[in-house]
Amino acid sequence: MIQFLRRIRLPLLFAALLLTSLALMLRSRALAQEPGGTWADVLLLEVVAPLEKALHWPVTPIARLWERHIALVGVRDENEALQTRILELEDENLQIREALMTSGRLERIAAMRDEFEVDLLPTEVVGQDVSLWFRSLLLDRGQRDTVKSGMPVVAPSGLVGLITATSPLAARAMMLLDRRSAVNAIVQRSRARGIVRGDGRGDLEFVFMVRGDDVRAGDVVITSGFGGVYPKGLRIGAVRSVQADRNEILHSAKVEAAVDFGRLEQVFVLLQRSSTMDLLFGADGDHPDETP
Amino acid sequence: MWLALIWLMVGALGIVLEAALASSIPAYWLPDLSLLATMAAALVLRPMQGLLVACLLGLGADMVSDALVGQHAFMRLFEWLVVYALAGQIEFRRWRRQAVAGFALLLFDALGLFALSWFFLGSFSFVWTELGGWLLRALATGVFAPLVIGLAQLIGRLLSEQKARRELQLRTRRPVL
Repeated sequence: MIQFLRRIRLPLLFAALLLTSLALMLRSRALAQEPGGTWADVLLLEVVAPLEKALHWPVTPIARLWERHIALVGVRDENEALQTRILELEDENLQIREALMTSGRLERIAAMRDEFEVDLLPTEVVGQDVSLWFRSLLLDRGQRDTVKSGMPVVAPSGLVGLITATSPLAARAMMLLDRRSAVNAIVQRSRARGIVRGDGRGDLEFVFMVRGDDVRAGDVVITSGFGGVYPKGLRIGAVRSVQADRNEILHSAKVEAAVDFGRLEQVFVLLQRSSTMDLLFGADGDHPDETP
Repeated sequence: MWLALIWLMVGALGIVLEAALASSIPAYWLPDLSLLATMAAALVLRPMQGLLVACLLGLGADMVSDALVGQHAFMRLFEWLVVYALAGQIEFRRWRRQAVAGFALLLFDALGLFALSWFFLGSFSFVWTELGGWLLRALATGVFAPLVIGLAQLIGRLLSEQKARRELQLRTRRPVL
């Protein structure tokens, strides 16, 4: 018997490991319904984030050297175009300010801005998902800095994603590009409403209703604030092209993300979670409220 | 035993380095180091040790990914099995064969991960245009395959030489009967 077991120990070990990984997947899927991250997530974030931060340190200067000194083709032209654009925008800004002053709405807008003002926590991106199927970032701030699951993550140019798992010192954020991500959005010009989601190819797709919706290439897409996950008015990107098929109820448009997801070094966590997220995750902590 | 432990450490370091690089370089251009370490484990380590190392490296890859815990580990076990079975049939010393195996395994891995995501998470759509990105990553993985396998063989050779030297010393001190 022992001889026989010895002979089949390799297949036995293979089967045991296979079953263990299957069990882990099932458990992980069950715990994934409970936001805030599984025990494994917390453990892994705590172990991996400091290591990646240490390794990221020598990698960053090399990447910067490439970006700042080698990959500069077309920067002069871009700079000139941007300078012109700044002048145009400054002019436009002055005109709008003047108009608002005249109508006496500036104070009301300032008050509204105070109302919506949220603390931003700067965090460093220490790693990105290496899998071909998932798009997430590893951040170097966690629960100790009051980061909680469900908090939006932004960059200066626009919305990045949402915190999905936290540990005391690190957090993981799902990017907009992830195919599981969906953001309720509106077109700034026409107020056409729809959903922006990752298409899995590194692009964003804006799905909207056909009737009466006016969406054109170049339109800016922002968060609508509906659903309570993201605050209203965060820039998502600009419409690149519209796929219009009259036979379909829903139309879709390709959206060029405002954020360059491949070159994120520093992002900001909005330290205010919406009431919807509080209901989902529990108001005080990172775990769902277990009270009925 | 030592080789397995050292290789596990090297593989873990590779996974973390890959994740750190992924924040500066698109993931498509990076070789899948945990897959390559698994390949080398199947070729260089003893079967039981190689299998355990493959599973642990898979769990390590799960750490730096938003995938379900166990998803990469599940795939690594099958990848170990494929390489182990093939190594009995094909001579894997030639770098070209190693490169082709790395290329093919990456595609197998991507399809397997997609199937698992679709099965366990649902709402995962297959996008044909993404195939280009996979091919790029498969190419990068193929290019690095001979290097990683060569490194594992080198470490193995160094360790076995040290062991042989120790044995030789013991024999010389043996009393003459």
